[in-house]
Amino acid sequence: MNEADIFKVLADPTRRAVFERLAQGEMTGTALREGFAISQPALSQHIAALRGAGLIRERREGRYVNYSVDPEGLTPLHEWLARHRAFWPSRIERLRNLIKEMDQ
Amino acid sequence: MTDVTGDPMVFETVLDAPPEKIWRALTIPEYLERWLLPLEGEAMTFSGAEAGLAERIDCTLVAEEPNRRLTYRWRESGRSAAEGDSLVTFELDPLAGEQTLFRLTHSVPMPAANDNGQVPMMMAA
Repeated sequence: MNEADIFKVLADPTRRAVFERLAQGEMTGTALREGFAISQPALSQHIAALRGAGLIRERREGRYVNYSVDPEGLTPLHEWLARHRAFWPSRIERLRNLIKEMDQ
Repeated sequence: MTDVTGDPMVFETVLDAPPEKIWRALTIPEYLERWLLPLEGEAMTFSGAEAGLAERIDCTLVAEEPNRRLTYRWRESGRSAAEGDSLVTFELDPLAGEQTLFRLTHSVPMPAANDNGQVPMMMAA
């Protein structure tokens, strides 16, 4: 998964809401569906997409399945941020030097 | 509530030049090439590989308020590219003594930015 896949999956507002709900803590599919005006099959599809993107994981407990956010799931996004957080300060220093050399 | 994306990237510093001069360094390709990234051929396409970024970065001006505010759409392609577009915004506030408060904000990449630079906001989870 790269950050683009993550964004594609999270671009769907319902799916993002499901993910954000799970960010509050592990819950069963039934608990997760409460508060969402969507059918069980629709929720299952969103869960499958989130799992496919590595954003959530499931844990079976008897006849229940518990869903939770996979802490590794957002790593590619965090890597993108880390690359650019390292990039910009060095560039701003180069800009600072350039404007000293520029004519008015 | 946890934040999905972390803080937005914002960098702020004081530069020893008036906004008009910095504006030129932010808009004229020959100057951009000297501080930002090597230009790749025509237009505003930069090569990011040596800096550890995506191979190609296409910058398109999406909004400007001359000498004050400038936004580029930042579109990556090639190796290490984010598929979505992000936005790089420069803000220049004049200070006394020919100085400028310089602020750079880089949004996280999101799919389906349109040409007005309207990127759907990533909400905090």
